[in-house]
Amino acid sequence: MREIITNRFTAQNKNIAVNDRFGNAGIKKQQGSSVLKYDTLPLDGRTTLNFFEGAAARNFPFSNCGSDGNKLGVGNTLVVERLYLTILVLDDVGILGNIDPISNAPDGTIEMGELNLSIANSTVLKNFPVLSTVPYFNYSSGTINEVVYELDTNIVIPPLLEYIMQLRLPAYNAVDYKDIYLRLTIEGSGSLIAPRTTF
Amino acid sequence: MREFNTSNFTPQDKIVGVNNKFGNTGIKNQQGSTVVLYDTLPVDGRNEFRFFEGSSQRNFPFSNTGSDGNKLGVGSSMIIARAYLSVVKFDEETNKWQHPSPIDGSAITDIYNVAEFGFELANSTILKQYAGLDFQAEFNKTANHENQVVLQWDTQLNIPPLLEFVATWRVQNGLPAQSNLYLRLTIEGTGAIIAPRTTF
Repeated sequence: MREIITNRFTAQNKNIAVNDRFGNAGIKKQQGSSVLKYDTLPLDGRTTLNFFEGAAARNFPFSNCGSDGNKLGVGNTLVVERLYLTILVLDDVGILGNIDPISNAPDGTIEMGELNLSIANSTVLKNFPVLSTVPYFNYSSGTINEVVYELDTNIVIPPLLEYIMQLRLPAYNAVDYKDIYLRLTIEGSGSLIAPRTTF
Repeated sequence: MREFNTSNFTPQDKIVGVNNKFGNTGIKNQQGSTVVLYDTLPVDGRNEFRFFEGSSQRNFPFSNTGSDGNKLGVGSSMIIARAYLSVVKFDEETNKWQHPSPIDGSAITDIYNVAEFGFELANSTILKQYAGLDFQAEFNKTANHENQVVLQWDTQLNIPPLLEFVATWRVQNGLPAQSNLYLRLTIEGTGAIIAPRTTF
């Protein structure tokens, strides 16, 4: 277990401040929550995986973005505090399972990758090496099995702005990755819309 | 259990403070981010690895410094809060990248126990003859578990934009050359990336 005492400017403060600057002053009146978004893509030989792009077309259990896709709905926000990657296997009857950390992938391709997060066409996390999430090299992992990476600077995703997390991989053999999917999860504080009126 | 007590002076404050002293007052208006830079050099018998020097010549997946090489671009800045070394190997027979591993337990373990780490910024040494052994989990005061090789520095060092930086890893003579085996240094921490607020 690890404890970090941070300063008084919390993730919630940043969430409200960023949204205020966008003129979205009502965010502080919404329901505070823990928000987690994930998207799952096949490792079918492509070397660029755009997580969340087109996520509206992917349903449970591949993504939890729903019809909003790669935008948060009105009154919803997310402060990206942590992220992790997992591999899953799709079996013959269409069940997604066999969850594993990326260190159990067929080779080191995923660990050699780089992540980029862009919000509304602006890059907010640039060329982040996936290797930093592997427990040996992950400063925020509390155990040899923990692959969750805590970002140094929390990044706010305001509502209605497109966000895409792009993973760049070196070339790999798609045959080795047959039926293997890669899931990216981002999580942190956030808000959910809580209308306090009748429609 | 390990506890960090941070002061009111955050890494972000230090970035803004150092850059202000350089006359780079716009840094506080850029995009705050987590900045992670890495560079990979071959284990070819050399006894000093000079990471980031000439890294503009190395592309993905060997380095992520891009055309800026060993300088941060305009509007970019970073705090070196942590560093780690890893060993990566490309298997020519199978044409695959192997899973990267820590140095300890790898084919080049010996260099761990005798190495020295240093960091130069704009021709000034800002981290001097730091024992490489401190990265190893057994001797790493910041390791959370028995296999963690990330070392968190006592003083966070700031790299302002447009200044050359080089990290050195000095090992004993006689390190044997290894085919397709590479040593990668990763530095990471809070930082800023340029966010122009205008159209071009």
